[in-house]
Amino acid sequence: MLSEEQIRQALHASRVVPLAVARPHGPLGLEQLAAAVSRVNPALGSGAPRVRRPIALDHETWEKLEQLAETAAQTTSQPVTASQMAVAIIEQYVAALPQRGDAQE
Amino acid sequence: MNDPAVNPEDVFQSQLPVGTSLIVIFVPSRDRDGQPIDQEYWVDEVLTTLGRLFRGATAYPRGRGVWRDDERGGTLLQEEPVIVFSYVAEADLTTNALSELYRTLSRMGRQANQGEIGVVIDGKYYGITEYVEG
Repeated sequence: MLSEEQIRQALHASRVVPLAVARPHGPLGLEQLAAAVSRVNPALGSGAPRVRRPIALDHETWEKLEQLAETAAQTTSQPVTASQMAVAIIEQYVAALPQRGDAQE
Repeated sequence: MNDPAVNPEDVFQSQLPVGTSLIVIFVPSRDRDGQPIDQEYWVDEVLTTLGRLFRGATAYPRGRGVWRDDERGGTLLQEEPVIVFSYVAEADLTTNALSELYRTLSRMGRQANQGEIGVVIDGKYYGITEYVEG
């Protein structure tokens, strides 16, 4: 049985990322796998449709995002951009907010 | 319906051989500039390679998707990848076989102008960004 490192070398892979879906079964399993892959490489999976809107940030904020992206890239051994950090922070913050209906109850 | 529960794998004798690995390859529909590629050709190429190396493979077309390329100004790109998968006997999963698979994937990455080619083997994603000439 080949090790992860032997497979990585044979495929000349620049990165290896463990996925949550180890052994997919059938079409639904493959869809689950594709969703997991799309989180690792958005170009290869569908993921949820996204919108793009230009937003303005001050220089200091952007520099901090770039520093965070650099740290994240070192931690995860994956390329991370300041834009991706901004998206992650905003999405996580907004996801944690109560729904409008919840607040009224 | 008082019959005892049965295990379908026992009835159909369909259990996978011990040591079988699952290789999954995503064949994109567009290049990194959003231009359509000859996806059918590359699905055939990947199927042929997997069939030759590992005795068989299946292509599974998927629904439509969209992705954002941050390196190209956040452009939204529509993507309709095809998943090609193969169950591989442990004895067939060799460095030589994977090196040959890499040659096909490398050609796809280079000729179809891909940022990264993705391969999943037994639950691990291998991202390929180095494409050799040839």
